[in-house]
Amino acid sequence: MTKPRLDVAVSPEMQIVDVASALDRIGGDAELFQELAAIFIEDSPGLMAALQRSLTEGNLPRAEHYAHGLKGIAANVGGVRVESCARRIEQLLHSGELEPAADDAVTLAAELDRLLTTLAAHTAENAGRKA
Amino acid sequence: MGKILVVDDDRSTLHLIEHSLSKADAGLEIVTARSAEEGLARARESRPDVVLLDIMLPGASGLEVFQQFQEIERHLPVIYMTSGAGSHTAIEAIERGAFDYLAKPLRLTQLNEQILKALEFRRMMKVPVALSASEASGSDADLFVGRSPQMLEVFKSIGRVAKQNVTVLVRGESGSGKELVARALYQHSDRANKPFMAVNCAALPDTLLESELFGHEKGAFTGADRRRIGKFEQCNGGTIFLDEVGDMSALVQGKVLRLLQEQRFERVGGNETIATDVRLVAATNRPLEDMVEAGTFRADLLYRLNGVTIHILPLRERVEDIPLLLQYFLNRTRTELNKLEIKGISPEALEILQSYAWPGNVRELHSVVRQAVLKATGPVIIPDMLPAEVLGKPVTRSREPAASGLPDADLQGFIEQRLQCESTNLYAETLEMMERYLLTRVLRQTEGNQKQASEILGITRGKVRDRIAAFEISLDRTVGIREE
Repeated sequence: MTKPRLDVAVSPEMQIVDVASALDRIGGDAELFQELAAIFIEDSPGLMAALQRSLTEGNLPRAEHYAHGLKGIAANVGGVRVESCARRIEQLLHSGELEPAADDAVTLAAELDRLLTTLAAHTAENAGRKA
Repeated sequence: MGKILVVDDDRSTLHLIEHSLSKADAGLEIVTARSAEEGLARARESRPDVVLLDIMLPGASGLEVFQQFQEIERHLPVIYMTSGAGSHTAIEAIERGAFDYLAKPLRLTQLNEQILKALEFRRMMKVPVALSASEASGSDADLFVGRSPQMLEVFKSIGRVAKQNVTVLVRGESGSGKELVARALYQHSDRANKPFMAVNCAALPDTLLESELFGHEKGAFTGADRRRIGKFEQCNGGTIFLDEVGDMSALVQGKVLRLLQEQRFERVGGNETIATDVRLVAATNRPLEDMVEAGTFRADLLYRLNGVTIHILPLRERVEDIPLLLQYFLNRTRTELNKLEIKGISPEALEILQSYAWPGNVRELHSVVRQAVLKATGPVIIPDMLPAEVLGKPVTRSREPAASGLPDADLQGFIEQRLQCESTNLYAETLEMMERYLLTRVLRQTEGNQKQASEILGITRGKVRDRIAAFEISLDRTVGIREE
């Protein structure tokens, strides 16, 4: 089992959730951000599982499709680390590099966990504020 | 108003778009689809006005899908959504006729802007201009109203030149119907099944106008982060309406002239020569001949544009059209605003409306009718329901220059007032108000020196000269608005 490479796609100074940029794109609508976060929390695990399945099966086009999908939904909620990692995987698969992509998928899974935890905390915080 | 079809397999993007567009315009209907197949099926059954299409849908090639949409309806505006910056496919799609593209993650202001543009494009091409009541069988046509000898001449001219592949210059005051003439020319031409696009030269600053018309290459100027296809290229084979041609900078005038002479041009910052076949309809309310003398408009360009000219007289010079127009707009407005109890206009009100000077022409008349219908409390429009300026009452607008001799500069107050008057020309009015103050103030600073003023403002001397004349700024020892 190969170790995850030191991933250049995700560097230490990148935030887990760049809320400011996300809000800026959606006109500062905090409620909309929460809705997008909720959709992300619901849909991303399924996409990640599908990506892992396709990688195991060696189905590059499918895997590329799921990586592309994860990249897109992460971008909408400011998940820049997941976005960057998924983009890297998408590019690797596009040029036929299955092994490196599979390696990076381990990192992606870890980043996705962090993102989901952060978003859940963010949601709870805001729900608390509203109450 | 309008129906938008969004095709994307990403739920959060669909949610984002639905949220943003319904907030921007409650009248918009949004239809969604999560695959190309579903998208095409929904397009066939629901006939959208605009399609927003993700370029990477599962199992479908972006360009193929685009072509399939166009087979359902030619010139259906399709806007691509792409997550790759400078995506090759997106650019290729535009070169083949896609309306534009949006980068993901979506920025809501851009999304709304693009949708508005696409809906406007649709309106211009689709809403027919009928030249007679019998032609306007559907109530959604814009009827070109008029039975004065002058308007009949206009209709005849349109009929004569529409099918010829010649440039037409439409001349008339603001609000007199120049856009309607342009659309009528287009719809009666051999290019009626090709695109029609309009550009208002007065609405864009010089560099943006050049880019809008001719496109630009990536890096051509600050903010040009991708190649852009301009209207002349996008509208190849079609018709372009250039409104307010008098407002083009010398550089743009030169490029348009070359385009008319050689059917070729380059994008801003590019060396590739592009050929295009476009029919041009231009419009102006400016005295172009005077501008040629003043050196602000090219004589050779005027010569090229002037071949066929259609003049629309101001409303006050064709008063017999007023009752017809009132009737037409009254009918439309009472239906639009659901005030069907309104039956007509009283003889006293009609007399007042016929003797008003209508500086804003037909556009103003439409606005006045609208205001009257909104105010109406009974079935008949009476003088009381007409706005102050029509009744000849002094308008409570402080247009008198302040003691300093400088014109009014309360932007907020001005806009509020005009909004209350339900202006339908607010952009041009505010621009004029801003320019009046700005030019006067800067000229005062430079003690009337136009060269210095043009340097401070960053515009051409010709434009400064132009505005001095237009606003009647007096360059005596103290610069101020002439008191006349």
